[in-house]
Amino acid sequence: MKGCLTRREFMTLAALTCAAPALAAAVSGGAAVAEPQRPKQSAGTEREVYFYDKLPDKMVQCQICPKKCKVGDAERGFCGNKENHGGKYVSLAYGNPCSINNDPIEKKPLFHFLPGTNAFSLAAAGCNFDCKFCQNWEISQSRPEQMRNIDLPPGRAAEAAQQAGSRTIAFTYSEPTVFYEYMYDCAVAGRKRGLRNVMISNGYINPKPMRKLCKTLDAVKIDFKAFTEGFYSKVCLGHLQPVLDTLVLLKSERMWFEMVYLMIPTLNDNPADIKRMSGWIMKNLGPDVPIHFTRFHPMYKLKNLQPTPLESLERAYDICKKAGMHFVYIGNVPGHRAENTYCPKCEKAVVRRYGYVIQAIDIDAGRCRFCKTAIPGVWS
Amino acid sequence: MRERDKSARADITRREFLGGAGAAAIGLIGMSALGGGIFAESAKAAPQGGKGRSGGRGVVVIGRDPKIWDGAKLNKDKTRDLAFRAVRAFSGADSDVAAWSAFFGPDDRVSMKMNCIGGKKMSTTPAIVEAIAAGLMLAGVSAKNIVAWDRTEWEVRMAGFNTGRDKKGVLYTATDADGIGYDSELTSWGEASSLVSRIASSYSSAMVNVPILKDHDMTGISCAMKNWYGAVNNPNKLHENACDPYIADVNMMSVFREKTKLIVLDATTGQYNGGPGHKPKFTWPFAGLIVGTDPVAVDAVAYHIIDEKRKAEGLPTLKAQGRPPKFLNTAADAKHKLGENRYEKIRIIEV
Repeated sequence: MKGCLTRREFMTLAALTCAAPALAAAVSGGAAVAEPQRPKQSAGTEREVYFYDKLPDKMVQCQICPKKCKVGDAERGFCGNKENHGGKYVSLAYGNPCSINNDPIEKKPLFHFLPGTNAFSLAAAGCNFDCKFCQNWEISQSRPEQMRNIDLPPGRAAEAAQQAGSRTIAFTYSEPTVFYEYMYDCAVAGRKRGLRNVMISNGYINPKPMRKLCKTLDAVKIDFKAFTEGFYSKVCLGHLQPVLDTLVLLKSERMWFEMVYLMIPTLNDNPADIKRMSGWIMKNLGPDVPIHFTRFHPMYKLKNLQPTPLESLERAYDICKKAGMHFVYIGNVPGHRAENTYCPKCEKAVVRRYGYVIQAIDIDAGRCRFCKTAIPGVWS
Repeated sequence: MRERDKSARADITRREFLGGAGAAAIGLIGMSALGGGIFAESAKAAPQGGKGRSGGRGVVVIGRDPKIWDGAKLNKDKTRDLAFRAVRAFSGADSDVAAWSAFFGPDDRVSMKMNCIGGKKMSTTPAIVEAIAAGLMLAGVSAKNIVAWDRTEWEVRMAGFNTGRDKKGVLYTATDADGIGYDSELTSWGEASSLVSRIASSYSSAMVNVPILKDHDMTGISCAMKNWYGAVNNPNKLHENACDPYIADVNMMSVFREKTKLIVLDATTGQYNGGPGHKPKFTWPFAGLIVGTDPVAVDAVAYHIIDEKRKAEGLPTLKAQGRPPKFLNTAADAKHKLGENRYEKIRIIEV
């Protein structure tokens, strides 16, 4: 059937993604990365950015994220995947993912969202931050034409997700805010097929596009970098307040969301900051927002630091539990008891995990099987 | 923590790349269509302390000749004569051969980094590039070891060049051409971390920086130092705070600092306002070029020329408009020491 993605085609896509480095090496003499591609130039394959303003002299101002880049003709914004074409701002990432995987939802991590299911995970090149510790800098800090991309329009992405047996489409790895148009259209296409949609984001997005997006999403995970402006501005090239605003917005939209805090030795592991953060969360978001403290591994520009000591993670865990937060997790430490979900009332484990593997689920219709207490989340 | 995606890129180290002769040979496949593999041998840097930088810090030559413009076209012979005259004056040599040989030699593989973003009307011009190629050949550099490049083939073509080898054997190409691309390992200095074009890092033993004379809405000017933004994968990440300290930091990367043997700023046309995009109403035929080895001094002189033109046109200076090229101060500070930023201290030789 024309336009239909066969299982074989999907497998080919997946294999292509995995094999991209090897293919690139074969073609380019082992030089690494994806064989460079020329930017798309035809208007038919590019998508006009959904939120931007036209300015005099063919300038534009992006309104997707708080950076609000002013971009001259033929130039790109900070994210590197949107370009001003004579006063029209276009996304070069649309239908152009550089990474596709079928991941456990626990890998996102989303612990209170359809546990044990898979998420069809998509990413396009680009990011509105430049975190010195980025785990995916090879794609987040690149431009679309520098990657080996896959031509996958939204309809086919949703179809591929369904054929892969995924219950969810996840927009992830890089920063989906900067491929907003593709994410939004994929989410709409996914909804039509009965799929859920989740966004794995740094939360650095303006309220208007976020509210529009909420109508198509089922869950959001926010990578919360730190509770200090200094960390955001110096380590990530962003700012704290817009992220806090996004968290409050998600709460007001009744969106299910979880937070992840990558704890980096000496940079964002100050117990006093963790205590202030837990107080802010309790006051503004409530006790039921899960937070995952995850272990840092040296990466990108921070190869000089050590992996996070377990004690730091456990100290942060204790601070948040003491503040009254119900669902605190420790990540990247397989086998740790804080990988499990515990009922806040009877304190029994209702979801047992080892890494990304679900060992047992004792939740019935969203309630603890032992004491019938409601466990917040999306369970079916 | 953002989940790690392991599918996008291979973790092949630079050492593995340079050490893999067999792999390098495979890399030639892509280039053969363009007339020869530019990665046939791994690059070696030119000997330090020998060739290069003979003009030195704080010395700049401005060459001008209105006759290079023949109506709307550049006269290639007169442009070459002007370029040769300027390089001779800068080197202090008494012949063209000696002048070009002060910077380059027969063993070199030389690449010319052009600036082709602005299309035919506001990019490095074929006349200047061909003049430099002729000079390199006078120094004994084989035509097949000369490459003129920018970041994308599309932009190179849009600027008026034919990609591939010309009749003499000079290759016109770009980082995005098949088989080229960027390094797989980061190059970092200060606040800047980037993947560098393999034309610069792996192919070239020496480079000529061939920027243009252009206004820039954020940084004031986009001339010699900013031209290296077109040689890294992430220029969009280097524009915060009017590109400061990023421009200076990129220029501190050894690949650019040590391999750049000469700057020939193409000032046949200048743009004094409305940059970096091409705005014809703000361009004028400066009919010249600026030669040096001190990137800060070259840019300081370019800044002066643009500001003088702005004043003549009744526009406020870049400083008055709140966009002085502050990266020049950073480039000259004690941490960077890239060159002389004080215009009054620069020795300008006019030819």
